[in-house]
Amino acid sequence: VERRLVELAQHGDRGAFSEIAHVMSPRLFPVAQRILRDYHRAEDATQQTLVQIWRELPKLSDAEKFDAWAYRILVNTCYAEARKSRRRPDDLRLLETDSSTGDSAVSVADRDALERAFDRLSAEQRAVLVLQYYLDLGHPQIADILGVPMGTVKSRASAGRQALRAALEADARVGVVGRTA
Amino acid sequence: MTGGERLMTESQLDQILVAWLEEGATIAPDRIADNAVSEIATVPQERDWPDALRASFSSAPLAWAAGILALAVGIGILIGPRLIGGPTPSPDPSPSPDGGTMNLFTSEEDGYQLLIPITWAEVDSGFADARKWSGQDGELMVSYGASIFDGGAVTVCAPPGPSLNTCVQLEHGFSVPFDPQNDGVGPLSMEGWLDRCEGACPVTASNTTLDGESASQDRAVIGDLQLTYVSTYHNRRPVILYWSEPVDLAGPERIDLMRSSFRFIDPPPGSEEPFVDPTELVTYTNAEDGYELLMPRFWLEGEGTRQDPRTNEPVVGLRTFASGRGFGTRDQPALTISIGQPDGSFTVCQRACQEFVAADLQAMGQAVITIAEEFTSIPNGPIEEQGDLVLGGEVARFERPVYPSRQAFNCLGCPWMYYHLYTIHGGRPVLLAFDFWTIEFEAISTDYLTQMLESFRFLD
Repeated sequence: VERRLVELAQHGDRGAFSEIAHVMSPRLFPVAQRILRDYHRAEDATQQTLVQIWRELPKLSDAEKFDAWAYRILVNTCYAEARKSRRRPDDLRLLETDSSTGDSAVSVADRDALERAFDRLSAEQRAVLVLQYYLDLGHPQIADILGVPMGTVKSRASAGRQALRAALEADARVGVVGRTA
Repeated sequence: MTGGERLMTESQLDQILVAWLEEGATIAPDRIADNAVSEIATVPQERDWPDALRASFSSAPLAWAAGILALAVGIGILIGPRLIGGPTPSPDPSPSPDGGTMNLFTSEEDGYQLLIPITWAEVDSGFADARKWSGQDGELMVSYGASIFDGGAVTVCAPPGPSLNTCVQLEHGFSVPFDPQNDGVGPLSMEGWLDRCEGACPVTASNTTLDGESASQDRAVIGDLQLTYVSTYHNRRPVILYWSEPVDLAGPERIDLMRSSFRFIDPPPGSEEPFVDPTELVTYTNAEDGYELLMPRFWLEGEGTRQDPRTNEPVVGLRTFASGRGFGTRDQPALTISIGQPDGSFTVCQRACQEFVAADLQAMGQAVITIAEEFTSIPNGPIEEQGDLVLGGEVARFERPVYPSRQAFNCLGCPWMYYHLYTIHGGRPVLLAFDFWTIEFEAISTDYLTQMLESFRFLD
C-alpha cells in the first residue's frame, strides 16, 4: 500500500481508506480464510479488520510498517473470531476455490487428515503456519507481525507441524487413501 | 497419535503444507471492502487515549458494560467451572509412604489419586480434563480425557514458555467395526508429539505401567527441561501424565514414585453399564413409515428429523441418522431416509428441504443432486456414476460421486455430495441419501454399507 494513501487515511481521508480497503481486502481475506477454515467467518474477520485499521490508523507511527501492522490486526481478529462459538448450524467446511487450482498436489485423504488436524490446532498455531507456508514469511517477520518472541513462533510452528505430520502419517499407516469409488 | 517410523521427510512435509495452503480462495468478495468503507462512514478514528475514552463513553455506554460482562464471562470460561463451583479435592493429610515429602492427592470426581511433592501447589491447567501442579523443581499435568466413544479428546502440552500456547486436544477414535483388543487400549505413545525440535529430538521410549495399565514412557530433553510423558488408556479413556523438570534437578526416582502411586478410582462395582459395541449393526424399524434396515448403533443415537422451513414442523416421512464425518459435511446427517406419499410426492433434503413429485425413477433422478453444481465442472473434480440395483425387493437406481483421479480437485471434501439410492414402492418414492464422505472415508466400513442395503425391506 502506498505510503501516501496511508498518511492521507491517517488524517481521516475516507477516499484514501477506500483505496486501501480494496487493495488490502484481497490480501487479508485468503489469510483469514486459511486460519479460520471458514469462508463466512473469514469475510467477517476481514471486514472487522478493515474497520479496525481505519479506527486505529492515526496510532500507526510508521506508515512504512503498514502491511505488517495490518496483518497483526487481522490475526488478532481471527483469534477473537476463532474463540467464538464453534460454528453456526448451517456453516460449511468449504474452501471455495479457483478453478485454476484444479491440479492439486494434495490427495483427498491427505487433505482430510490435514483439515482435521488443523482444526485441532490453536488459532495461534494456525496463524503461524499460514504466515509461514502461505505468505512465505520467515520466523523473524512472523514474530514481528504477531508481536511475540521468535522462540514462541518456532514453538508454535513446530507443534503445528508435528500435529499435521502425525495426522498424515497416521492416515498413511492405516491405509486410508483417496480411493476412487 | 503414535510415534514410530517417520514416513516423510521435513522437506516433503513442507511441500504438502505449501500445496495444501495454496488451495482455497484467493479472491476476496468485493463486498468485504465495500461494506467496510460503508461502515467507517460512521466510525470515528482513535487519535489518542482521551479522545477514544470520551468517544466510547459518550457514544456507546452500553458497549462498555457489555464488554465488562463479556470479560467476566470470558474469565469464567477460561478458568473453568472448578473455580466457580463444585467440589474441589484437596490433598489427603494422611501419612504418605515417602516419609513426608509427598502428599496423597485424591479426587473421586476426576477419577484418580497419586502422590504429589509437598512443595508443589496446584495451579489452574486451563483445561477441563487436566489438573496441574507446579513447584520450583518441576511440574506435573495429568490429563484424563474423554472416552473414545465420545471423541477421545485429551489435552497434551509441550514445554512451557513465555506466551506459549502449545497445548492441543488430541482425539482418539475407534475402529469400525469396533476392535475391543486394540481400540482404547494402552499403551499410548507420545513419541511423535515430543518430536518438536529442529532436526530431531532424541526421545527415549520405554514400556511401563500405570496402575496396572500397559503404558508408554517417553522422555526427551528440550532446552534445559526434561520432559516425561506416561500415557495409556483406562476404560477406553486416554490418560497422560506429563512432567516437566529442570534438567539439573530431574531424577528418575521421584517420577517413578509418583507414577507407581497413581491409582484410578473407578465407579463402584455394579453401577457400570454393560459394554455395548457402538458400531454393531442393529435393526432399525420405522413402523410409521413402513421400513427397516440394519444400522450402526451409534448412528441411531443421532436419529432425528428435519424441519420444513415453511411450517417448522418435522418433514413427514423423513429421518436423519448420525453426523457425517467427512469435512464439509461433518455437520450433516450420515444418512437421510425419505419415504414419500402414494401421490408421488417426496422430500429431498440437501442444502435445504424441497418437495418433489415423481412417478418414476427417472423423475426421482432429476430431483436429487448427487454432486453440488459448483463442483461438477472443475478439472479433476468428482463425476457422477449411475447404475441399477435392488432395494427392498424393488428395482432401484443409485447415483454416487466418483473421482477419476486420486489427485483430486481441492474442495476439502466438497459438501453436498451424496450416495443416493432410490426406488418407488407402492407409488411412494423412497430415497436413501448417504453422506458421501462418511462412506468414502470409511466412517463405516464398505461391508457395513452392503449389509445395510441388503437388509433394507419394506414392512408391508
